[in-house]
Amino acid sequence: LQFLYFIVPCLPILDLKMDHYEGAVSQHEEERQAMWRIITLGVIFFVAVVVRLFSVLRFEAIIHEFDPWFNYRTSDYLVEHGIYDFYNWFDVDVWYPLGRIVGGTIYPGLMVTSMIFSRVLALVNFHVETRLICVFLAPIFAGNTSLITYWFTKEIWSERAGLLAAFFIAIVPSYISRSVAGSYDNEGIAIFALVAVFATFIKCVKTGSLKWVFISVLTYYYMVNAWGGYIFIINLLPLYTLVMLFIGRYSLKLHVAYSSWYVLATLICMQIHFVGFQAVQTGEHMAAAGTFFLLQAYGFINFVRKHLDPAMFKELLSTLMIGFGTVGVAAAIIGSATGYIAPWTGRFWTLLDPTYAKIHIPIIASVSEHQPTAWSSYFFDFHMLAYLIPVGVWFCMNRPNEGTIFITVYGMSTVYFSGVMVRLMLVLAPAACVLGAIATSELLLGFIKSLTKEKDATEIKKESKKKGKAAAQLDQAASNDKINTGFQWAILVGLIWTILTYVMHSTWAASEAYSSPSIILAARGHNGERIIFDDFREAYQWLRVNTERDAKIMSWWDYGYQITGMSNRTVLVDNNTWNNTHIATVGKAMASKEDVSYQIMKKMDVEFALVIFGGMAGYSSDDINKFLWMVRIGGTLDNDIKEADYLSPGGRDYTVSQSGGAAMLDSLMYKMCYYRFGEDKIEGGPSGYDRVRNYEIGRKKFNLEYIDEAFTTEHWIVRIYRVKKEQNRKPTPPPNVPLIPSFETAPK
Amino acid sequence: MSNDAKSIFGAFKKSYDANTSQTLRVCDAFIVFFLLNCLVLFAYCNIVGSFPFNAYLGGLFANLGMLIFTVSLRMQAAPANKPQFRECTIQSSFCDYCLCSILLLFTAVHFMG
Repeated sequence: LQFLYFIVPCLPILDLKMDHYEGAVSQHEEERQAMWRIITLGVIFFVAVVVRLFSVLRFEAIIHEFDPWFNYRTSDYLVEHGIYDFYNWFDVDVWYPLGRIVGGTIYPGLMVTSMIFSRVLALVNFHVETRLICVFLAPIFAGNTSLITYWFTKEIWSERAGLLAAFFIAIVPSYISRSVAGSYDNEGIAIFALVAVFATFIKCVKTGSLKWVFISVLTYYYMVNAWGGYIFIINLLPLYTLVMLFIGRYSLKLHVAYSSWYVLATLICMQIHFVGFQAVQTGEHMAAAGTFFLLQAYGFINFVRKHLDPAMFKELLSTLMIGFGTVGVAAAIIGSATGYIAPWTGRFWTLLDPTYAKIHIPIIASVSEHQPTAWSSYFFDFHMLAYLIPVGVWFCMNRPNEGTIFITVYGMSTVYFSGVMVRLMLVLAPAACVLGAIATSELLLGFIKSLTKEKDATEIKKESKKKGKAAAQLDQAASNDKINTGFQWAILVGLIWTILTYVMHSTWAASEAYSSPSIILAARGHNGERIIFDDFREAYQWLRVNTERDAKIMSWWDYGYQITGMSNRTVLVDNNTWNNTHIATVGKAMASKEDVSYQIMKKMDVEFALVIFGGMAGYSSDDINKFLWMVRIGGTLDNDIKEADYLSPGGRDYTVSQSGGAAMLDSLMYKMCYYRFGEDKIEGGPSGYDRVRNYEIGRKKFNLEYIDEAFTTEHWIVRIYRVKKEQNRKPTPPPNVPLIPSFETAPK
Repeated sequence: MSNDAKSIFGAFKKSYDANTSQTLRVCDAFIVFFLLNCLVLFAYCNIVGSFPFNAYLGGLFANLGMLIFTVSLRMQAAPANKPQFRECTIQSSFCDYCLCSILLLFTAVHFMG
């Protein structure tokens, strides 16, 4: 398989040598080129699928992480119950006691795509389990993305750049990270739809034909169905139109393309329940509307200009501009002042001001994907493309047309946004691949051309003797400008070597960094044997088999989707995180003393509480490491929960050792994680030695008053506790408390 | 001021009458019709109320869409613009116009509920 990876980059280079750079190509030559093209694209598709299969080979075909479990559960429901029941589904198993209107709060594209695959295969009597379709959908669509990127780059630049772009995007680590087999998430199909919308829109602008608007809008409809990131498209296309206007490239084709596209696209995206009226009522869509209006005003003024002589037109112009301007500004002011046009939501303010979320909305700030990007991520996720982006932009600026200006605007805007949030690196990936491909294609072409022409240097000298002295001087000057031949060879070889290391790096990144299922962990033992930690599934299976069907489980929101997906039980909060108060209630329960938490758990009908504890196994993404976020979020509900109480007194350390804060050592989370942990000595160390925090815990011996330990998995990673029922008789009070209970000790 | 407006309007009308073929006049008539429809719907919504909002949007976007498509068709059909729309013959333009109109009206009727 490694050998194959070395062949793939050679194919586009061979393709470069195969065709003639100048002059017409014969019929035979064209057919040969077409054959090479098909073979290359076929191999690229195969590579795109295969590089994403590492986790299936190492573990099994399982759905990874957290969000994909919700997508899988809904796809399963859709395949089983059909589309009407799916759109009208009110899920009572999540966000107890609120429930969730799934039909109206979901982007159904992913589920419907899986259902279509399932039905089509069933038509030819291939009855494939939904789980397998879901696991392998993203790699197949990654192959599709390569093909569509080939076509996109062919429209912008050339066929050769297209092949290189397809090759780059097939294995770029940034895209692999969100589309491995098992990562059944919206981005897997959304990147394909994104590039398709851009490619068809460029076709609209280049031809000015309504047929392409039709195709582009249908592709956009698929994109809006697939992912909430369609907001990027509906803001990028107006930005592109404005840029074209401001640099004086207004054309009737652009007018036709954008206006028709906007009206049809807005109407069609409102058909999706989740979007609904947002398309005309929120600030995020207003840029598109404003550009539409501006374009109509511009077009109308141009139309009037054609029928008047310049002097008269000058008088009219100011009136027209004032008229249109007043209407536009009045609409904007009335819209935002009356609150009819909703202002930008917190998620989008974070894009402009990265510190906004930390201050105002801790839930958004706590997600690791929303952190600002480190420099090393650019190299890790893009390798050579990271430094080829500016080179590609330079080549595009030398040949400005509709396509190249578009890719420049797309590239520059995504470079900015990718710096704000790690998660948006994915949106930069297609632009990086296209720009990198343009740069690589032109560099390879230029150097190969000039190196193959070097051999004809003696012939040039003969020619110049015939042409005469003046021509000879020009030729001499031209050859003096050339770079030294040895240097050219060095650059060419270096570029090809870089492409090969790109392949090696991408394969390595896919294999080591991005193929972990998160739900199964693996480690190497002393003798190098592989130890599998299957604790998550063990715990969820225990819940599925040993609890009542209507049991309510309380855990932190990260695990909500997995619990409903695998245990089929009701949860209080899950990864949808739409209700911050409900999450804060759970946070407060986790962070408070046992008796306060007990009241909250009783109020929420909770029967089982679940925590993730990594101290025995050395698993560092556990709830103790996430606990401060629970405190912060819980503190938004109840002002008595202050972060400072949970840090060490005096110092500002977050610790669970003896010097930890009193509230920390008395919290429900501490007790649930470390119950009975202090009794065990691990491998000759002291008792209660936490392998993640690397010190002994503070409180080793304590009893649980309101909860019972129900189940702890093999490596102690998941711990489940049963909430005790109220006793028939209150326990007798300890001796030095007065027999008449005071109001402070009486239960609420 | 009104004299200027009258004379500008008169000059515009003269130039328009001289330079516009029958095909384009039909398109212009449709454009004015759709524009008036949009304004009537907008005024109606503001006076009577916007419930049900989806029906209002369906009607508004249908008219707005047909307006924009007719403007596009007019641009593609005008002989002065032929060098810019090299790949569009009048037949293919009209066919695309019908295709987009079908999608627009189908979506609008679906949206109206």
